[in-house]
Parts: sequence; C-alpha cells; structure tokens
Amino acid sequence: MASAGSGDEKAAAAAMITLISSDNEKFEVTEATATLSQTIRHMIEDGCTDGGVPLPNVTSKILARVIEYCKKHATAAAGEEGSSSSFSDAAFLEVDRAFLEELEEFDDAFLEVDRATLFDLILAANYLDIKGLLNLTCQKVADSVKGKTPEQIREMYNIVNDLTPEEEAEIRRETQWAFE
Amino acid sequence: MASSSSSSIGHRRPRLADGQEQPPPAQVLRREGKAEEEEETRDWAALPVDTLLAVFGRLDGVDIVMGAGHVCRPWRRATREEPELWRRVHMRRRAGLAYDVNIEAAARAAVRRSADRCEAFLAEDYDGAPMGYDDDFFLFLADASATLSFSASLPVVRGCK
Repeated sequence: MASAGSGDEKAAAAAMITLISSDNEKFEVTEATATLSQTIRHMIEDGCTDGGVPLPNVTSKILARVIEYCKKHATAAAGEEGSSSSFSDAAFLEVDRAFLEELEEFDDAFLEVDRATLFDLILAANYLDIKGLLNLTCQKVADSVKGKTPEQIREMYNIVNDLTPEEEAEIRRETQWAFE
Repeated sequence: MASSSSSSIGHRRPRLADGQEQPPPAQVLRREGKAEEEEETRDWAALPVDTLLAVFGRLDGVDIVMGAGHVCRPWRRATREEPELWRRVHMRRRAGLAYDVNIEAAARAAVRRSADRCEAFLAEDYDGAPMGYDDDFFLFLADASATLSFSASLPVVRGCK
C-alpha cells in the first residue's frame, strides 16, 4: 500500500496532491512539486485531482525518481522567485550561483542511471510533460550518440538495423559514405 | 557495406521480412543469466517521435546525417519527415568523429530534408572557421531553400553575396 511519501501533516493536506503509480503505489507531493508536470497542472486546474491522480504509464520506481527531480527543481524555482527582487544584491547573486551549481550537480547525479531507467524517465517526462526533465534526459541520449556511427549507436542501444537494402543504398548515395 | 557488416547484436531480433510489419517487441525484455542485477532492455527504436526529435534537436546536423539518422527505420523517418528539425542547420566538422565526413554531401542531405524551410545555415570546421564550400554549394543552398537568409553574424557567409 502507500509506503512512500505519506506525510501526516494534516495542515498541509489542502496543498497536497496524491499521485498513483501504475503498480498502485501512492505518493503525496506538494502542489508546487506536482505542477512541474504540465499534465498534472492542467488536471489541477480542471479540478480533477480529488481522490488522487492515477498515472497508469508510470511505475512506482520511475515515479519516485520523477518526484525526486520535481521536488528539487520546485525548490529551485521557489528560491529564484524569492531572490529575484534583490537582483542587485551581491550576496543574493552569490546564493543564486551556489544554488544553480547545486542544481547542476543534482542533475548530473540524477542522470547516473542505466539505459532502461533513462528510457523510462524519458517516457515519463514526455507523458507528464515536464520540460526540464525531458531536456535533461534527451540531452544525455544526444551526448551519447554524438560522433557515433549508426552501427555503434545500434550496439549501444540494442537497436536492430531494419533498414531495407534499398534504403541503405539511398543513404550511401546521399551521404557518399566515406569510411576508411 | 553497412548492411553486410552488422554485428551479431544487430541480429538479436529477427529482421523484418520484406514489407511485413511486425508488432513491436514487448516493452521489457529481461536478459537471462544476470542473476540479481536485473538488467532490462527497452525498445529504443520505438521512442515516441516527440522525444526522438528532442534528442535529434540537440545534435549537430553532421551527427544526424551521418549517424543517428540511419540507425533504424523509425529514427530515419523522424529525421526525414520533420522539416522543423532542419529549420536551422548547424553542421560542424570536428575532431573525434567515428567516421569521415564528406561535409558538403552531408550538408546537402541536411538542407534537402528541410523541405524549403531552412532559415539559417551554419557550417564550421574543426576550429570554428567557416567551411570552404564552393560556389556550387551556395547555388544549391539558395535553390533548395527559398526562405534561407544568410546572416552576417554566421561564419558561413564566405563566398556568398
């Protein structure tokens, strides 16, 4: 049953949203965290989050990671808003910079996952419409295929070459393959 | 050549018979023999087009035309049928590529895919210097894309009026 994220703070309950993973695990998160997902933001706006938001495409394992990301970045967003009025204040700029660095470190560490998890995170970010997470995960894939041949990429991602001989010939013609 | 030299990995799953569409393989395939560490694989060929484009949009044009764009049919389709991807073409020849690039051929392939929607074209050599295209190429560019504007801030303006 609900094993994760079930805080007892009744006072904050009004601002809490319950997310339900495909394997029926419930996660309670703040609205600020949940609304990093545009999909969920729209559901909240439409007032259809009572009784929890079922996310049939996201497993508890992945949802936990997604929430971890959103929590961190929701805090960052709140911090930015709080300090923006004191833009000229050097001390605040320093804090901002430290925060951004911390956020970057968090993102780097967050991306240290196996390929299957990366894939699931991309699908979840796409489905939940979390722009920052989609950017982050897609950048990781882009970085990994940069400068690689199609065959190297296939091996890396276990993709079958299903191009027809005609397509292969067309590709060679088009790019005038210059191996050697 | 590319087809005959595919490694064993390329054939882990059966090749599609001619013209015959097969349902995509199950989302999660567990490999055997990896006891505790559950190693799962995912069908990367089946990434939704939106996410594929998000990946390709972060690549250099050379990477798409020489590499990622030819990995499999769905990936190839995504790079060919989405002119938006080629609205701003950025081609860079740089060190550390796993292949040799005929940069001009690659650039032509990229611009052709933009389906007349290319607005900016930028090509750089290893050190960020503009590429030495010949006049034919600029004629091709002008021809291939009615909306193309050469900006003076882009290094590629060499040879172009």
